[in-house]
Amino acid sequence: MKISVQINASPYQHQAADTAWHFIQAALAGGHEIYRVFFYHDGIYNALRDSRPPGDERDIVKRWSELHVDNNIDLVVCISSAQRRGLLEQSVAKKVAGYEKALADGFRIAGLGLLMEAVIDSERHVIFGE
Amino acid sequence: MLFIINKNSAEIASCIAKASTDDVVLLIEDAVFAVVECDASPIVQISGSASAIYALSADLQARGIGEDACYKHIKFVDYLGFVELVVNNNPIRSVF
Repeated sequence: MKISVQINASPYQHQAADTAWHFIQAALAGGHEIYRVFFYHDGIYNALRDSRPPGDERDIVKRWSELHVDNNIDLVVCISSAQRRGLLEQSVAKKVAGYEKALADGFRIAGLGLLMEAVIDSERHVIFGE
Repeated sequence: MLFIINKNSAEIASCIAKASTDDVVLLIEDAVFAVVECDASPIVQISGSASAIYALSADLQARGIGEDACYKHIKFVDYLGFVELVVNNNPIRSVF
């Protein structure tokens, strides 16, 4: 079955990113397809390249990047949520002399159209967060 | 419909009260505290509901809650069971 996931909460502050990641792992193990993971509101903090948790803790951002590499899963960050919080897509960062490498590997920034597309094209859409 | 609830709040009783017999409720994260057998649990208020109520085992274990401390009508699922509930129910509503 084709499943999309939406994450509305920041990592470390809330359990949503962990729950979603375990859910995705189980879905993949069960032979299902994860069509897209959409990071919305404070969920955009899952995509911060410079996140540096202590070495003996799980690295949530890196874990998402690895999920993209290992399973080719589309990781989409909401552009308006991201810009409000200072996470700028590369071309926008260049225009405003911002930090151009803020987005972690495997993520892309796009609009709500891709969220709607995920809801329409997937057979199930599951939201994690608050 | 599958209701996914992640907080131990009055929303749990409200959700289960509204659920029809075809609906399923899954409690995850801090919502699993509601399945511990005690007078203050919102689960008490809807004990007559025919809806199936599930709790995520990993979140119970993470909070030190044994299944023997929970209401007897609660069913337990692991993450694979979580996925199965998503597959077998539509639509899905997350309640925050």
